[in-house]
Formats: sequence, structure tokens, C-alpha cells
Amino acid sequence: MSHFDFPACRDSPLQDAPHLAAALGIGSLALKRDDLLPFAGGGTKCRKLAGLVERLAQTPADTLLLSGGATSNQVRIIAAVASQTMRACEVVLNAGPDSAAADFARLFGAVVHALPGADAWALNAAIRSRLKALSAEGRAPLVVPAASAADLPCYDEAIAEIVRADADVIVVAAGSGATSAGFLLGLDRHLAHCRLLAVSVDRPAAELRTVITRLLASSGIAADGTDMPRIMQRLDVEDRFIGAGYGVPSAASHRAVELAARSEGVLLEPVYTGKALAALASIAAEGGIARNARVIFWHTGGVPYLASSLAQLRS
Amino acid sequence: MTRNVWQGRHGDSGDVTDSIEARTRAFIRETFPVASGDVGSDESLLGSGIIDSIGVLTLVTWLEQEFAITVADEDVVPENLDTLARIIAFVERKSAAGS
Repeated sequence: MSHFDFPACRDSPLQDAPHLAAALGIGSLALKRDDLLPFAGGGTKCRKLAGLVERLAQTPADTLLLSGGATSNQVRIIAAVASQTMRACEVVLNAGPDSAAADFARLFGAVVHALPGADAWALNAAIRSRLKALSAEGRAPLVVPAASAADLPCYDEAIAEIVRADADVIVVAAGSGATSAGFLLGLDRHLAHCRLLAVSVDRPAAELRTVITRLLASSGIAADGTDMPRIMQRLDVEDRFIGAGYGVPSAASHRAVELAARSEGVLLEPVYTGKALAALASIAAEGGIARNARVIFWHTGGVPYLASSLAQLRS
Repeated sequence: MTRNVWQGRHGDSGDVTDSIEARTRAFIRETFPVASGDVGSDESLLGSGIIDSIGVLTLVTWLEQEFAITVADEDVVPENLDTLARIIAFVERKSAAGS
């Protein structure tokens, strides 16, 4: 039995944001503060920890193995879980050894393998190599994927927390696609009229849609059945705010971080939530959000990474 | 159960290729449900989202067991594994070389 209550990583505050709403020209805006979830600096990824720790307890795994990028919330949080559950952790990063994710992973005691610029194939080969090496040493490694159908129920259940707000639109940053896929399941069950605006932070819209479809299919939604079109039709994907790429702040995301800080005293960061808010601001300015729409901006966390961006904001 | 692709076959190389393709197609369809439709022979499996990054590991492990080949770390590259056509050619090369 873990001494930290991982199921406590839910029921985050829903905060009215009238000043930010006014700045964006939106009638009603609330912030779902998953950044305040109580583990390893918070973030929506914390919601999957209860299920992960439960699954871990049923395996002999003694080493968690995962890959990620320079500002990966998954890397920070899983490294922390490994530390808290007394397991080893190894992280393969497609970023340098001095990246923020590498720093946090090492802080939690993980071993970092830095492969700057590595593509998905190189990361896979490195993960496989470490799997074999660890197994040869008699260890029991377990690969933790960035996105898994097993994670979807926790994001599905998160939607139940905002049913009373009766939102018309939820805005969320989308990387692995798992949060968006889970939210779509929750919307299908709880908020039939609400749309999901997924703001891609690293891949073209069509690819993100396919990834979300794959995750839904893996969760048991038939890819060629009638449920999939109904669930997917409420999804809008925005990919114009990726900027120079995953993990790279943009001028628009820096402006969005400043806007949230100066209007509501809320910290965002410029590579996930900052890009999502930049997208919302742009779409609202284009008239893409009805004046009377009730909007929820889902703060997915990542605030610990803001510190490394403050110097850029200053300039 | 581990089987060698060459074991128990008496047809020509076209039969072998068909067998590799049919078995790999079936595996992908069963393991990665989004591929319930037909997967094109030259369609990028990773790029099109049919399989994810962890799915590559699953695919490689299955190829090793199903066709009794050994996949080295340096073999895990898109030139060998990113499309059905490349997978078939890769398995044929590995099998012919005795892995």
C-alpha cells in the first residue's frame, strides 16, 4: 500500500476567470486547475497515477522505463512515482542532458539517457536496448507509454467534475492525445452538447486525429462502428500554434503566458498551456467562439518548466 | 508458438511472401485496432498513427517470435519496419541469412 494517496489526484478546482474572459472577448471562461493536483508539481498526467500504481502493484516491475521530450510532464511525474514507490527509473530523452526534463528526472533519482534530436525510431531502439540490458541484469523493467488506452478512464472521469459548469467548449493542449481521447469519452457520457478543442503542440491535425482514434479504438470503441463517428464529431483540432515545434516556446505562447499571469494571477508555461491559450485567443478574435459560450480552459500543468522560460520572457 | 517462416513450406518465394504479409497483416489488425480497415503495403505505420512508439516494440517482439529471427537494435529503423512492404522484405532478408 502506497503511503501517498494517489487517488487524491483528481477533483481539481474550477476557477472563474472573468478578467481573462474579458481580455479574450469571451462571455464566460473558467480554468480547470489540474496544475494544482498534489503530486510532483501537478498536471493532468497525475490523474493516471492511481491506476498506474495499482497496476504496478500487480507486477514484479522494479524499474520504470520511458521516453520523452525536453519539457515532458510525463517524464517528471513518472520519475517521481518511481521514487515514491521505491522503484528505479530510466528515461530516454530526445533532448540534451541539460534539458529541464532531464534535470527533473535526475532530481527524482532517475537515470537519464540523452539522445538530442532522436526521432521516434531512435527512441524506440534505445528503449529496447535498455529493456534487454536491464533484463539481462536480472531486473524487471516495465515500459510506461506516453499514451495508453489504460489511461483513458481517468481522463473520462475528469469530465464528471465539470458537468455542473455545463460548458459549451473545453480547450486543452494535446500532445500524446490520451487526455483528449479520454475527455471525448467523458463528453459522450456527460455533456452531449459540449465540443472539445484540442490544440496540438507537436503534430499536424490529421495525425493527432488518427492518434486519438487509435487510442479510442484500443479502449474498445470499434474503429468502423457507429460510436466512433459520434464521439469524434465533437472534436476540433487546432494545429496552427505549434510554432517551431514541440517544446519550443513561441512569441504567441509567451504573450499568452503573460496574459494569464497579468489577468488572473495564474501561471501557465509556454510549450503546452501557453500554446493552447494562444490558440483560444486567436480563435476567439476570429469569431470562432460564440459571445455567450461557456468555455473551460483545461490547465494541464507543466508549471515547473516555466522557470526555464522566464529569461526568454524577460527579453 | 515460434515458427520459422521457411519451415514446412513447399511453394515458391511468392507463397512465402504472401504468408509473411498475411500473418503480419493479421497481427497488426488484431493488435492495433485502428487498423481495422485495409493497411496499404506502402503506408507508414508510425507516421499514419496505426501503431504508436511502444507499438514498434510490440511489433519487433512479435516478428522475432513469429518468424524466428533476431532483430538487432540497429535494425529498428523505418527503412526496415515502417511499412508492410518493408517488413516483408526485412523478414525475408533475415530469414534467408539465417537471422
